[in-house]
Amino acid sequence: MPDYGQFQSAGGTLDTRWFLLVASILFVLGAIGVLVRRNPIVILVCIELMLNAVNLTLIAFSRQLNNLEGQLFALMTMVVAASEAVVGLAVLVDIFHFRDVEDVDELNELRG
Amino acid sequence: MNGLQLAATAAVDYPPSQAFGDLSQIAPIATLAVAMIVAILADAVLPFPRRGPVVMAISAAGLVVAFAFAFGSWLQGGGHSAYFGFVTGDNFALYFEMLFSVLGLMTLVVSHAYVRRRGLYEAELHILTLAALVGMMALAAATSLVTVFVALETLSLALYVATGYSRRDTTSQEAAAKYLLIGGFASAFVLYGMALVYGASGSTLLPEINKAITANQASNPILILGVVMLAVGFSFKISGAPFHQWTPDVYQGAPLPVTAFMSVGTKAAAFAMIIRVFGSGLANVSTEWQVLLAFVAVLSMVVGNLAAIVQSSVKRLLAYSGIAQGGYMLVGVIAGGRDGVAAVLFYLAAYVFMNFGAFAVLTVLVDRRGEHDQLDDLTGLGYRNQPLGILMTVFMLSLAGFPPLVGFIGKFFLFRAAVAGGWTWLVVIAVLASVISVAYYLRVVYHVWTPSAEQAHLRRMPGPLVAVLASGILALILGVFPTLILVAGLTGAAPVLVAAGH
Repeated sequence: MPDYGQFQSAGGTLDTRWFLLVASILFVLGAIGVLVRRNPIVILVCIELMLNAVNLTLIAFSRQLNNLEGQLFALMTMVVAASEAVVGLAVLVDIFHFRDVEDVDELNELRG
Repeated sequence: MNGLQLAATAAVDYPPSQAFGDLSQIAPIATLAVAMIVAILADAVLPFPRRGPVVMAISAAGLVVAFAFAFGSWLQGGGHSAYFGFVTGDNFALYFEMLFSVLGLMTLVVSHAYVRRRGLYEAELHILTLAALVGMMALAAATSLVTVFVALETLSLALYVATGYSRRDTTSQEAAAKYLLIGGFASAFVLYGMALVYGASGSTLLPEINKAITANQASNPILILGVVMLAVGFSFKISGAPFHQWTPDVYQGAPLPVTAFMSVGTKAAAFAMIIRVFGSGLANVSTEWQVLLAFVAVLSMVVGNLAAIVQSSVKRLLAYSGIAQGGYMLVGVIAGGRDGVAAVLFYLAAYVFMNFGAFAVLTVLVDRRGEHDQLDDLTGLGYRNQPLGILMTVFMLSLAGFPPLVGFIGKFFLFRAAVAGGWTWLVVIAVLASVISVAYYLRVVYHVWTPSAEQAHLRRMPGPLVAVLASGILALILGVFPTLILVAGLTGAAPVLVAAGH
């Protein structure tokens, strides 16, 4: 098990756990946002927040473990997050073309 | 110090011979990616009427060459890992690459006929299919959390767009939006799980993770949280209950060829990912993920089979049936070992043909006004077109698990492996659940063979008929001679087990 101790930065030492804590709070906030917010665009923003929370986790671990794979992973995640935003906005704009969807519960044509 | 760190600290020494060797390991994936790019260019420069057929020809050529590369490498005993261990060309990957090539070819012919009849654009659908196939193949070949995630998103993003392909239908758009929002949410969970596993093990490479994580680490909270997050995210992707609610809506709203393609393709790719990540990367904490997956498996089999009974749309019925079938396959994943993994590989191949065939039958009923996927629309199909009726019956009976069809043999292998692995209680539930499933599969058969006032002969659609016929013949042949694929499954299972045997 790696040691989750402190790492040196220019201004002194910082505990990795603080970064992990902030990241987990951001992730939970994003997840709650997806579950309670109704506007599809806001949900998309919340998903991006979750992905960025993971990026913070990855970079904190990368620095802690002195291993570059985490930073590589974070770079890849940014690319993926950007593509997801593009596709997401394209799909939603396509829907807004026909009608205004301010609440995801209005997307209720498909039922069984 | 692994390859990546070396490359980062020292001057990069990457001779052309190694570049060529690495490329040869991912030849099928690279071929499809190149075919996709060529198809996009062709779509941009050709005059409109020729775009569709040319793009289809390019896609078909790419798929055939990809299959040939994969088969050639398979005959030579499989490849090895490449690109600093981030991907591999082992038999496990090759098995899926061949399966996805065949699936891609069947999808092409069905899509071609479908877009003609609905009056949609053709070229883009083939391009999206290719993009999704690149993702699926890469997912089966990925041996690092980084590549697993990127491949997973490649296939997901292509499928979000493909789901909304029929842009005039508000249902198609709605399905795309739902798939996108829920898929993105699930991806975030997968990603967070991966980040935590990376933090706990110090590497993103699955073999390194396997070495770093020893059994006494099971109490590391970061690792356990990571495994739970991965299990949740993976369950979303294989539409396992209780994370399955998006599946019926998305399957119903998506255009039929896309539904047919993703119902089997995503499932096969996601199972490849689960076997790789859990089976080989996290083999030493198997007790933890086995419990989680067993919970998902039981719930999927019960919920999927019960909900399927009351459906009136065949697309939704098959969606719930797919949830239940995912549960059966999870039983094999949980059992693990050589027999368990081989049984899952065998069942996935069988499932691809059974389920794709059933959806392809529905494609024949499509006309300009739209899809006709209600159970009532199937009434009298057996009299309007006898071969189609017989084949639909074969697919339904096979999915239900009647001997001597392939679905029966597949379930038999799965359940036998699970009993041998000591999961008898799980198998008892699975068998009871599959007894329930007979009710709704036979309901479809009953509708197909009920005489109806509609006596008009169906318009001929060669594309879907070829796909249906091929699927039906494979379902029959594999049922009688299962060793053909089972041997392949056992060979494909071997590389994953070497990694897990630590």
